[in-house]
Amino acid sequence: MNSYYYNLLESSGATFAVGNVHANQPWKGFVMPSQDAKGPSEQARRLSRRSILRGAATAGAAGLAVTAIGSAASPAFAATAPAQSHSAPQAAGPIMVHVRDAKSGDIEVFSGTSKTRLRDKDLAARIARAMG
Amino acid sequence: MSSHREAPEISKDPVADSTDVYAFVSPDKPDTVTLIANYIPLQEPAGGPNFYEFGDDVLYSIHIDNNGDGYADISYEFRFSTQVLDENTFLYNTGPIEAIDSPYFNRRQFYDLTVVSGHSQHTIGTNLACPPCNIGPLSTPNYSFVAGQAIHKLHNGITVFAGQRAEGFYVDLGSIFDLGDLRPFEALHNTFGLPVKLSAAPGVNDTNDLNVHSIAIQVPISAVTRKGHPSIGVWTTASRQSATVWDADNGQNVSSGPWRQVSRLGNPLVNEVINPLGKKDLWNTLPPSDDKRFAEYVAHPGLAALLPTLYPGVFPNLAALVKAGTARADLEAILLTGIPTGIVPGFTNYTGPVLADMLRLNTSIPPTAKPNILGLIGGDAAGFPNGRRVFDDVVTVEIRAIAGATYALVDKTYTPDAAAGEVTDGLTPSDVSSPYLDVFPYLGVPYSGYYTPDATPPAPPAF
Repeated sequence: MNSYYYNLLESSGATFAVGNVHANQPWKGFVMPSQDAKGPSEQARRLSRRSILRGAATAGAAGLAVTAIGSAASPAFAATAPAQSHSAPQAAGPIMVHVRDAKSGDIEVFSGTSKTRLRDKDLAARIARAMG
Repeated sequence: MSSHREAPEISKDPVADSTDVYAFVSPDKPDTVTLIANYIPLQEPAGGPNFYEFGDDVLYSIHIDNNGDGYADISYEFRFSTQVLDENTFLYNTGPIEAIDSPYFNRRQFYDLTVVSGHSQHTIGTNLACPPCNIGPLSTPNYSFVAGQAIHKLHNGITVFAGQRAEGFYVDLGSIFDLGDLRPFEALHNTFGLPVKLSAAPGVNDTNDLNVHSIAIQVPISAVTRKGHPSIGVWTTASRQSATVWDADNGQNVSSGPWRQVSRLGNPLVNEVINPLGKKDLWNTLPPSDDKRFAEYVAHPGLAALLPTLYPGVFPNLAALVKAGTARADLEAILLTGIPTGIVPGFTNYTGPVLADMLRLNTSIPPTAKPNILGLIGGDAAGFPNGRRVFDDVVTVEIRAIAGATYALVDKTYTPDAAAGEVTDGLTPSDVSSPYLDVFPYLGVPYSGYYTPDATPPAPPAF
């Protein structure tokens, strides 16, 4: 072997297994997102217009990213959001809304490791008014 | 650089910036392959108090294509999490870290490792500990021992490590990006009419004394190859979630949405010096299976056209090749398909006709007893571009290949310029101060913050 490669000053030392190591344990429960999730997950499919509004209404827990909005001003968004239903499914983590084009109602909603794309002029207009 | 800060967007995001990929049959365990993906380029070792670490919000992956379609058949996915024992101190460590579970190791990282194959995912390691950064003789007094504790042996013959290592990639950045002014050949370089006198000089290793963060995994060859098909394609990616908002109330970013690729690396220098500036960011978002879109830049590399201008009269045959518009089938084979049978006697790492930038490794070729840092063009079939070992001189190999040294392999009538077989940035592994290891994870002990950049540190204080 070339001396520069095997001329060691220090070895990497002893080997220990630290942590909970297990092999071939079937994936269960633990959400490890795929590299390139293309289709909406079950969680995304559950994201309805109403749930988006609820997410935006509870802005302390939900991220709300809005771009390309119209110029219309309106009362505060939260004040116009419908009351939350106790039976509605709850998304884990923040829900982020990206209004790509308020005029056409082109909206992206991000939650967990999913994205869903909506076309809803009324919702886009309400968000735009909320940002007034 | 190999892929350090190689594209405009990723240069702003070092935590997700892949710098090098290595893939080789393990010299000490030849029934396994070692795959290493480096991230976070150009780490100044004394960079405290917040020393370098992986991104908790980044999905790091090492991919293997074993059927030649440019898509991943097996992916090893790494997700990190950071734990702080005492948030009421500014210290990374509150005392000497003499073991990986030291209570003085205040800010530490752990990771989960998931294997994705087709539609199945298996988490094969959870809460695996990373070592600290190498700070100095008081904070990390026996660094190699602690780093060794971060080598985790999993079941099924898999060994894994994630943490700081010495940068093993050597390159004369200062000369290469000063209009290709390779120091050993400076006397031949174009002065562009400037009143300067250039003369030959030794190369300077600009990445010496710097660290990187490595993700290294050693797996049985049988676990990553298909029977009868020993050649695999390897690359790494980093992904971020689609949406990120700065949560000013809590002083942190909040992310959501599907993972989207922001960094990719297979063969060294492809996105660095082959792809044009306007395509680099796009390339980083795509899988190798899409690389047909970039094949023209491999077939007609801009650097090949530049060399005759940079070194007037030195590359006349290359100039003629470029002027004729000849597609570089040699580079396409080396970088995009693997080298088919019949090009280099007794050698192939061809994976099929799909044009895909992957580091291709024929795993049936055993490690060489006496490695040549020029790999295949140096007569050593166990080295680059048959995979890549940590010490391979990929800069010289690729410069010579682009200069035409390998074109004669596909066109016997072509005579390479004499300079094509000599050109180099003038560096060897001896220009790397922290020696490579002969055992996993093969990259050297990271440079200590206390002792760097002093090239000749005093002996550590006695304890």
